[in-house]
Amino acid sequence: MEAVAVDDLRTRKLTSPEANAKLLAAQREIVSRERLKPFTKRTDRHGLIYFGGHMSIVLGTGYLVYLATGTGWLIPAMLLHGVMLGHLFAPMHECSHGTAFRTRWLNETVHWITGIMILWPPTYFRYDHTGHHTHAQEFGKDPELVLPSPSSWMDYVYYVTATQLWIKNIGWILRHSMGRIRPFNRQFVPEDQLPRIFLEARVMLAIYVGLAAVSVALGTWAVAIYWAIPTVIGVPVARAIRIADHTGCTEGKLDLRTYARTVRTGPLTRFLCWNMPYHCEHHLAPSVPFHALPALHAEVGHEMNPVDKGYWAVQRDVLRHHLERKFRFRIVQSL
Amino acid sequence: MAGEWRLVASTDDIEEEDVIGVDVAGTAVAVYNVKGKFYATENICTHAFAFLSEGVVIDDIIECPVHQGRFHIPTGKPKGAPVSVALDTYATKVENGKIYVRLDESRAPDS
Ligand code: FES
Repeated sequence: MEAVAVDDLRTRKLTSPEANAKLLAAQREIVSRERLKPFTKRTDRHGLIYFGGHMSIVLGTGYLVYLATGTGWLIPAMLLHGVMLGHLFAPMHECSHGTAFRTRWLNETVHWITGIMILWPPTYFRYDHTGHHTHAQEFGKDPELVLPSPSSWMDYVYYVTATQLWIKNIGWILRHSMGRIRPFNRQFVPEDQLPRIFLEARVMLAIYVGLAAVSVALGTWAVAIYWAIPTVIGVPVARAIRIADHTGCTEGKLDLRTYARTVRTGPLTRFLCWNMPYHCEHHLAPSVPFHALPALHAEVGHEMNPVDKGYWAVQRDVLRHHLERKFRFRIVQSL
Repeated sequence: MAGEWRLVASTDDIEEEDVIGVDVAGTAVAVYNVKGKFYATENICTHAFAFLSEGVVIDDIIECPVHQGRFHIPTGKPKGAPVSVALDTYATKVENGKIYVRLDESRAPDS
């Protein structure tokens, strides 16, 4: 097991003025503000359709779990339900950018609901995610770096099974609720905002403990059957999909054209991922809401990484060419 | 010097629900058109540097182009993570289709 050291975390401020100025300049080199402006318009309609649709699917698959209870179909139904629950990362992410809805309270409400459902502290994620956008694909700086080179198949299993996700997210909630935060995570949060991060974790923890207590008191397995177990078994599908966003793309340098990947996929996946398969375009212009990404792709996609693969092909490439066939396991500091 | 009104743009230069960046005596200033009313704030996001004039105006909010931090244009107040420090705001006036800015700043409390 190899621990990865990261330099001087106490003094580093990741989203530094220099790095952000470079990022904005790189974005403008590809697309001017005038050209981008029509794509940045916000609506409530698209978010309501997507969120309403996504939650209806979740309710529908939850109903399938109910119908399957006591039959041999229970595990497949839970898996399907869990895949839909796991994809709630997509609206949580979109809301973290504030681009899901034009109306702010709608955006913040959905941000919270989805964050709670997938155990992702929404406000902390908003800070952490600034580091990902400013330092995408930079080892030791990008808090969401997925399988940097060299990574092994053990790292892949650790990531895709979501072991890494649960250790990271539950770790955040427990640590933050005790008023503690790791230096790596602390660098994203302004000092005066730490109490908010700690309060958020306490509220989340209270909700989860409350749900557990009510379940025990009522002697019900509903929370486990309709939410916890399906999420644990379904999230790996969303993890495998997320690998395609950056893994195997340019690392260590700010190259908006090649450090992310847009993936060819069908309408259902695009819907469940809230158009994040257009990942190159999302990094090029995070102010562009999810519903305008296909149009932005039509405008600038030809300048970005070629879109020649679907999720299966990317997965095969990562497994065959990107991963080292070694028994090696790295704990990346960005937990 | 700071108390002088300075001509920064014509009202026609800024579309409704939009912003431009101008230099006023060496200070980077963002000038906004919010439903026909003109406002001015400092042009640099207080989170970690970005020109707000590159951002998106949504009603009376300016959204930073880099991490989508939001500020209330009339008061400069931060509207939640990742921004928590208010923007300086400047007085504006419009005369004969010209927008003037006065640099003596005022600042809303941080969040
Ligand atoms: S630089 Fe403006 S929100 Fe980060």
